[in-house]
Amino acid sequence: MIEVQSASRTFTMGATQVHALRGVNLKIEDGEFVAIMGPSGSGKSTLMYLLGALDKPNGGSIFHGDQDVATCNSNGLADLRGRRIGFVFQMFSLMPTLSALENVELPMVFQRMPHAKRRVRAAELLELVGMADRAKHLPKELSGGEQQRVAIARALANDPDLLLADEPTGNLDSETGLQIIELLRQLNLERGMTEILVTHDEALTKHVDRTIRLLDGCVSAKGKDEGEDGEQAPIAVASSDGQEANLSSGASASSPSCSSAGGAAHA
Amino acid sequence: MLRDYLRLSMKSLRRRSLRSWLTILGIVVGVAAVVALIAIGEGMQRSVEQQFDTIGYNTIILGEAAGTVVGSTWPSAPTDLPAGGSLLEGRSPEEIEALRAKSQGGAMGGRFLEGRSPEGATQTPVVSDVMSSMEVLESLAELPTVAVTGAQRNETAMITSEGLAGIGILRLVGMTASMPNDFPLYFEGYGIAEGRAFTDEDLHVVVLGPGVAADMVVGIGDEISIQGTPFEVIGILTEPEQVSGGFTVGETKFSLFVPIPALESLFGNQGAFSLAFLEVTDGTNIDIAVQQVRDTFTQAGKPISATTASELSAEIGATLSSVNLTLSAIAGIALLVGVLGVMNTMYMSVLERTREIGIMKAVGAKDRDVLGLFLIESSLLGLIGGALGVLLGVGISGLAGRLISASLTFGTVSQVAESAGLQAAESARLVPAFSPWLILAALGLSLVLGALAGVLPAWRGAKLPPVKALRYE
Repeated sequence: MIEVQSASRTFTMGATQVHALRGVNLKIEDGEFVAIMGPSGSGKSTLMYLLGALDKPNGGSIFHGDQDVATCNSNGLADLRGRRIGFVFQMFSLMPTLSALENVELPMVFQRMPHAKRRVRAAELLELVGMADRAKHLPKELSGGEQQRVAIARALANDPDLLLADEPTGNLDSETGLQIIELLRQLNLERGMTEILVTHDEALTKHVDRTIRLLDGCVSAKGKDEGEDGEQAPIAVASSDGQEANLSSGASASSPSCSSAGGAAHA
Repeated sequence: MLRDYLRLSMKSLRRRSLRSWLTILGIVVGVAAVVALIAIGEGMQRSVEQQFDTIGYNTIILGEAAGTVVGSTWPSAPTDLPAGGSLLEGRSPEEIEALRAKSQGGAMGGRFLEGRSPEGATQTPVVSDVMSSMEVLESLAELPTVAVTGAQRNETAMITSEGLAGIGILRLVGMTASMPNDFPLYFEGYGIAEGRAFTDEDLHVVVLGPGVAADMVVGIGDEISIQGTPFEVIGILTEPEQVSGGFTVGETKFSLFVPIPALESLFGNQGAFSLAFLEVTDGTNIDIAVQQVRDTFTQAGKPISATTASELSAEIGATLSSVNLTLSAIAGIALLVGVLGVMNTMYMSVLERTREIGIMKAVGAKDRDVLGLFLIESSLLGLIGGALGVLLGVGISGLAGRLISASLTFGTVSQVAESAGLQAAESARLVPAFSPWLILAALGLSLVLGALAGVLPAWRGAKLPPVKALRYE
């Protein structure tokens, strides 16, 4: 389970303080497929970096199981990323000098996996994403969709608990994008892997279990997935005093749930 | 792990191959310069050592200190005389005597290793200041530690013969009869072609250089006149050929060789010599022996310059070392520029691959992985540059060695040798010396320098926050 407890992240840009996240609370259960949505500047990228252990919050905690990102040093974060998290980025996230197969091997290289073993595993993963016949190709010889498939295979390399996809369809045409989302969904269902999809594409939300909406650095109460299955998933939202409130799907609150004092940017 | 890093680094270098090669070229030039200069320097050093090896380290070379005896060293030819002496025709005896005197006056003094104060009372033979230099030498020869001695004295003499229209002014060498046999290494090229060498019993006999014999149109048994005294020609030397290494008695082709007593009968100044050799027995400490020789001559009121082959060798070696050091320092600057090039390239590389660093970190690379990758990359630049630089350096120094051997005489050696009253037989062959040590050191150095040049850029890359790196466009 992933649990975010009143996580805040502030960036200092010159003399101004930018509050990208203002005390976010949320829980993501194992095996969930969650979308994080929000307009530009809502803090969704910042949240993704925190969830992906690429960055640390200024306040609060982010638990991957019992491990708190906030308390990890740079090596600890790297271990967390390497072993428990897989990333799929928007585009151009493959190493340009490495073949598809070598790109998939890369995370295993950093985990010191023996060469022969990781070769086999990388080939299996490429097979899984339907890219076995393109193993020797360099990224520039692959189409956008193919590159994302390789990126997904790479994200699976160290058998992570969590797969984080940051606008994975952003640079793809809608049909190819759909294929990628279906692949992610399939992996989620077949392998029971927790997946978090960061996107601003409303159309993708119908493929996920739950949608978390961010606005101005807070989780919006209108975050409930309104997908066809109608399944209710709990959403954690922060209140100003850091108290958690589990809102049911029926919650009608449409205003931002975090009404922290001075919620407006004090830039 | 290292192999994976190497593979990754190689790929990244190959991607930016033009820049990589240009960077490598910077190292190549620096390393090649260092290697070539050191190899040439070592080669010179070795060549000098070899020359002295052929002389033998048991021999002490004695030259009278400047100004003590007239004609104490080799006369150098007056400027209006062709080098090596010549046969003058149609000049008056007065003119010729003036030329002869001028030639004497131009003699070089034995300058090296002088001014050392003899210290410690080593056991010396009893000598007194009434003894001549030759007598002191003879008393030294009686010491059990001295194997053999020999001396020679050089003058410039007027020569006439029946076959010659004018008068020749030539170098006249008086020497002890056994000298060529006792010190064969110094007398390379002194070979009797016709007739015989003189013995201690002979007096007014002469051995002619082949050039002299030809110009004077004389043969064995003929008579020539030296300073007005008749001498019988008993031997003619072989045509001098280029010999490698060692010293000779100097230019033999236009010289005349007579027993020392005969020379003294012409020029007086009994018991003087220009140059003497003294060979100590095997196992004798030559450094003590040379001091003993100096002390003895000083005691007899005839301060002398005495030196050994090893002292000469060391002196030349020291000169060469400082020259080599200077040259290497200059080459080092070239190498430094190359290293700065690597540093620049690595900074560029870190900057260009910021996003890649972000991706690597996202998939689990630790700071030290990134650091290692960039360090290996810069070390590879250094190592490849070093390897090619060594090859180029070998080529350059080989070529340079050949050019130097072909065109130049061995300046330092011949100069010092001349001051000792010797002449280098010819320019020594310069073979650059590549010790495995030099090559390994060059490779090691370029590897280390490459790595060092990469430290700061790699550190910067390693410490990049992943988010910042990922957002970098």
